[in-house]
Amino acid sequence: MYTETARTDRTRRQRGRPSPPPRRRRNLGHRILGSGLIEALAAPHGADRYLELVRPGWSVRELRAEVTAVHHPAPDSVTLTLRPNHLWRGHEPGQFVRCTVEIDGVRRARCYSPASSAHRSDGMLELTARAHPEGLVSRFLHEHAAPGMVVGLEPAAGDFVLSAERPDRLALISGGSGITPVMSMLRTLIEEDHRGEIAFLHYARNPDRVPYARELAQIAVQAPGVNVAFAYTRGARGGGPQGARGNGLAGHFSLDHLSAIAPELAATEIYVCGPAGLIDAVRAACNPERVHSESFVPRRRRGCQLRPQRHRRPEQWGDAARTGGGRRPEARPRLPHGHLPHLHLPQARRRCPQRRDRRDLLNRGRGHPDLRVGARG
Amino acid sequence: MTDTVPKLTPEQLDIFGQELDAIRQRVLDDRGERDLDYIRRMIRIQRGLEVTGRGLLFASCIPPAWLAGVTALSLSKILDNMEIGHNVMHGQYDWTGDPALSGHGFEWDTACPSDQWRHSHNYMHHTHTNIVGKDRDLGYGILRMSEEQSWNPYYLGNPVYAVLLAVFFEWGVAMHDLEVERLGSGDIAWDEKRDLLAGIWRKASRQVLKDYVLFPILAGPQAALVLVGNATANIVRNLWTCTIIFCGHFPAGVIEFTEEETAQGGTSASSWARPTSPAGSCSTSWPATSATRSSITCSPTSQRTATARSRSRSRSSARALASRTTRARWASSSAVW
Repeated sequence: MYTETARTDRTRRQRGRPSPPPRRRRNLGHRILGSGLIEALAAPHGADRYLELVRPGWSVRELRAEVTAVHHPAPDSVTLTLRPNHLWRGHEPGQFVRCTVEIDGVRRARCYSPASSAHRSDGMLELTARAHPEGLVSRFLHEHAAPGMVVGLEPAAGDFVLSAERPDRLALISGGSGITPVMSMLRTLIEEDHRGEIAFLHYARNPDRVPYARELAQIAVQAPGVNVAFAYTRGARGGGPQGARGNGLAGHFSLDHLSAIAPELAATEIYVCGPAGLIDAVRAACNPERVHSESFVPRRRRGCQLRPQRHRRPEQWGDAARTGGGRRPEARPRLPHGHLPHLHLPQARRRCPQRRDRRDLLNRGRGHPDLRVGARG
Repeated sequence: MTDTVPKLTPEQLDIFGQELDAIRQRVLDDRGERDLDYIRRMIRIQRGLEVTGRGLLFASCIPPAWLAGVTALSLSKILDNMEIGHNVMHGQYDWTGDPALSGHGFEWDTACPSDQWRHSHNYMHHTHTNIVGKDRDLGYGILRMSEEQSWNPYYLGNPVYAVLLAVFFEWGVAMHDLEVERLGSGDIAWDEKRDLLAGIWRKASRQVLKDYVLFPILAGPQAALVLVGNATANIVRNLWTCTIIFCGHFPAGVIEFTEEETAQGGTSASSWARPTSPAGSCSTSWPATSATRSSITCSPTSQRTATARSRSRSRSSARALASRTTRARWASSSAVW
């Protein structure tokens, strides 16, 4: 699975010079089709509305991507390799993209964090989704995604990114599907030939549910300074590659797990992405100033009964988060249309006192087609 | 005219309303990929006709090519306006989430800016259907279509106005929301309509640029033929749409209402009676069943969301829901424009 060795060797020769993210140049065709003249001739619909009839992926103004490869890194996960069109401007390692697919005639948007390196030379984007049992989009992608499928994209967003000046010592901690943004960070750092120490600690329920396990094992062996450890929260003893530090980890996060693979913890920048419980535990155990976390959803607050286990990453939000509908509105922060910033505290706070009203409204509207929203994920 | 149609009792109206509610629910339950396939097929046909028509017009020196080009382009414009634009801008396909089928984003191939049409049609016409003085589709402020409209000598020219309106229908529709007759009489100031004028100017200039400047120039020596061809296609479309709309809106037996009548008895059931007159005489000659399907699906939700969204997108579904409880009027299967 780890196919980037050759590229790593090449970049290693260009020591200290991280290459900028690849950007597709607007070729002549794009320039002509995107020109004012074509737009005026294609008025009022616009050139895209004609191009997409010829080939769904063709567009001069809308960011789209074509699926070029699909594989299943773990039984319940799917990894899509996407070729974005010329409008894609790359992503910072750790950011997420909003991805739109059409299911039974309805467009559904979900956020996924690319797991690919920000410097990937072929310009491809790699998204990994876990098929949530109730997840409409994730299950659809898991079961039906195939090369040639076209998805809509939005530019990458999110503040959970590596600082521009890369820290010498990093700990990348993830839980469950939170592995994707830190995977992107790890791959990016390796391509940049990072020379410091990287501790990669991943929590999963059991060994079957770890995507990228083989690649991570390979990285741990090949890349100097990278320690990889897995911890399993349901029974099995975790560990890393043979002979690596951090073997035999089990249970939820504890400082021991981290210090086993990141000895000089005090000088380590910690990036953590996963369930709120994991983030809270890391913050409690480490110097919070050094902890960077992906916290998409509001914390518990006065008058609002958000339960911590309901905290979800954007991947796990349904359309309801966008439209404000859904069967369990309390679990779904409401977002302004078309926006998906990573923190929505003001909106969430505003909605809370009205929750009861909203629920009544939703109950009355049960069966209402506009609010018959798909399940999570 | 209204004497020939028996008035319904409140109980009958209630039953009538319930029956229509049931139809609406049945259609909404049935809504799905079949509808989406239909509109996408229409769009493919329309875009195909348009490209073919424009292409053939570039060969205008061959008379059959010119004729075929004009035919294809006219059909394309008719489909674009009547079957795609009208239905999509009713918000009928908003449920898909496809930006190409978005009720508040769609722009159509005619001089009228889509946002103004959405106001005059989705709101003024479908909310105040057949209310004299509110629904400007009653005579478009130009013609005298109803005995409720008081007669004055201006209406002597009715037949002439009707012909002119038919030929230049897209411009009539474009200026529909301006309420020109009230501007002329001084009821409203030009200042109030400045934004509308700017919108019409933007949209109309793009239409003129495309049909009467760019495509003729691109045709080189055949510029004049292309220009005439495009103008002909526009006029054919105008005549077609005008005929369909007048057939749909003003057949005999339609009940008109005064604002007082509707203010008193504005119950949900009675509002049903307005768009579809009990005699059922408002039905048009729309052939396809899909038209009926589509017009029903466009109903309160979609209409409301279309107007509500322009004000507050994020609250649109709640608003649609709220408006559902205070059930108002919605598009009948009959009113086409």
